[in-house]
Amino acid sequence: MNSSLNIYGTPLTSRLFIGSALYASPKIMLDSIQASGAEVVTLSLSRQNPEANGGQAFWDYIKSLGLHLLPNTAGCHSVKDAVNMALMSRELFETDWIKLELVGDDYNLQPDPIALVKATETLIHQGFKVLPYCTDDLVIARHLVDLGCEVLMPWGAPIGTGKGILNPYALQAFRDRFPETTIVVDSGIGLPSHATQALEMGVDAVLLNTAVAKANNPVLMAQSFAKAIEAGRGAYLAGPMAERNTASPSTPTIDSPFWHQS
Amino acid sequence: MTSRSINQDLIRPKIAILGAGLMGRMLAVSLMEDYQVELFDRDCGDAKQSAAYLAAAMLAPLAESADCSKEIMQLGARALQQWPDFLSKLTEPVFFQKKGSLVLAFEQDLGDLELFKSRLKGDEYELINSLEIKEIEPGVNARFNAGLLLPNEGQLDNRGLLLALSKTLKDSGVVWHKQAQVTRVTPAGESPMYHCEGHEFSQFDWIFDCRGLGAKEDAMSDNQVNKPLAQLRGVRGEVIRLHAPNVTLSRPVRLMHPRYPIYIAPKEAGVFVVGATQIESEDSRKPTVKSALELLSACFSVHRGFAEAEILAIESGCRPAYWDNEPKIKVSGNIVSVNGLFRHGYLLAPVMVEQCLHLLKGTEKSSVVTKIMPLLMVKDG
Amino acid sequence: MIFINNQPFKIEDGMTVKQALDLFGAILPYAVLHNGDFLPQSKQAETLLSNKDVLEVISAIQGG
Repeated sequence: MNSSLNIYGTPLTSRLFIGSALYASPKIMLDSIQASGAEVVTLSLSRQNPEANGGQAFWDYIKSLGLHLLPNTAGCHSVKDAVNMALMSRELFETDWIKLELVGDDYNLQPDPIALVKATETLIHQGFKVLPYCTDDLVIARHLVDLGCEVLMPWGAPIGTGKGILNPYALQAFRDRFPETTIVVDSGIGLPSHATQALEMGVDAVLLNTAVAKANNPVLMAQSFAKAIEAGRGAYLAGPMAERNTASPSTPTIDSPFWHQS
Repeated sequence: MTSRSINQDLIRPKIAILGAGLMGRMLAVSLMEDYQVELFDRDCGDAKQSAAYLAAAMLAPLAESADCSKEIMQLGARALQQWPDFLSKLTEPVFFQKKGSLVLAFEQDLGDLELFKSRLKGDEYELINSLEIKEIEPGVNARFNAGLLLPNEGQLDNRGLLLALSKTLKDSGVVWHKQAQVTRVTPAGESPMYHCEGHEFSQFDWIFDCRGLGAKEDAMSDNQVNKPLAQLRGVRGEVIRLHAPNVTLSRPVRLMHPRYPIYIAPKEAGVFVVGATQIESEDSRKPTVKSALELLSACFSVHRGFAEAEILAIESGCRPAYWDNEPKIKVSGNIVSVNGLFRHGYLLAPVMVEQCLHLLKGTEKSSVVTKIMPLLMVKDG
Repeated sequence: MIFINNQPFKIEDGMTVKQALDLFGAILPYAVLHNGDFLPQSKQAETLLSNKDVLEVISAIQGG
């Protein structure tokens, strides 16, 4: 597809970012990620347990994929926690990309907009390339862009709900208000059609995890998402027709025989 | 068989079995008639370091099929047929039951039950309503409005089986080296060999490595090239044993849970095994409060009688698993590794034994086991 | 006495963070928080521990 995606200067072909959690086995995780064609995979950090023998298996599997790593700050509630986690991720994964996630509400995992802006400021100051997980609030997004975010990651619906794009109007406005910013819809995608819808709206990419990991056949679902995203992007570039309220025949009728005309 | 002559022993091939968990013991019992078997194990014979010591010993091929391949389900169904025969060879009876299992979900988890049903890879189940639930399990919480009955599933008493296996081996005079730590060494440029203080493994005709997660370090050092894929990893599980004489469940109940299947499996004499969590970690610490709460609240929500139950034990362990969570029999010369049974040790052990017997007799071509799952056995070179 | 991932450890005077991590059995790759602040790898061998210090050893897990 022309006009390739660009994340802080890194060109990408695939417009699907995929998570590494919740799969039934490491094999299914690796097969699904490969089937999705994604070039960016998200992962996270947790306390190490020496009794756990390092739990190195997961890290070895992920490395074997050779994809861009996008570490997240999942589970962080405060600016300090998130900044610390970003610093550790940068050292561990050798990337300055960070998916900044700051939970503001434990019920729907809605991001805390105020802490998000503060943490973004600190991290950008420290040389990070921040990909903030935010709501579709335009004012917060403006602050983030002003701070130097080249990528924004608004939600479609709360994490893990699979409800799709709950507020298409707000998302469209979000897209239209930040034409120069890369927009990645993160969370809430449940079906390939949701992803298509986002791409048709001009969103640049989609990040998802549960929709693939929890499908009955994750590999097939990953392939389906890849196609859906390609279709959505194609439709956006092709430019859709205008919607009309009255039917208009798709076959020209002027030359039809008179007995066919009513 | 104690009267066997020395001459007979000379012609019976010698087999070393490493690891006296479920697999090691079952292989030993199956081979002791026709082979001279010696068992090596790092523990003192009580199997407390074995994954099999904790398992709920569910024989539930259909229920498991929601999250495993069709091949595992088919092998499990075959194994379920083989268990009664195998148990009859033991010198002591072992609790074995085939009364089916019941899958239940609370109102808010009905979506998960529907999904579970759609993922089953067989059709031997029936949807039942609250009245039917009450009929087959009268003590169950009346708030369950829907469930699935899987009539062909079974279970057995894991610890009873481990004891009966050990008794049978002892009665038959099988040599059992206890507290014998076996490690594998691969000298540069040579094929791997086992090492254990005071023993010489080159005298054996065959070596069966059934050490479970105890073989993890070997698996890592052996295959540097495709290391992640050959690696064994541990998947943590936490299990609670309860004594609940007031609880009247007559068959295992599986409760829908967003993260992992929770079983409440009634064993003999009012004992229940509740488990198990499934966590991607090799953490070997005791169970966590969170897991204990989840398991216990699952019990109490299914049957009020658990309120007065005595907690006999809360334990944790790690299941040995390969990257696809499926078992492998890896053959390299006269060394055979049987490993990666994950959460399916009891479900699959009899067919793993069946395949090992085929290998020893050279009848692999006629094996139904590898007809079902061709990738189960891998041969080097 | 210090704490590493919530477990108490006895330390000797003059022990560095790196030495304590080895004692703990930390397996690379990992990242470290020292009293709640990120401590880069380059500084772990030169940072001395004091009584009641808290270390957290962090490694990769699955994430969405």
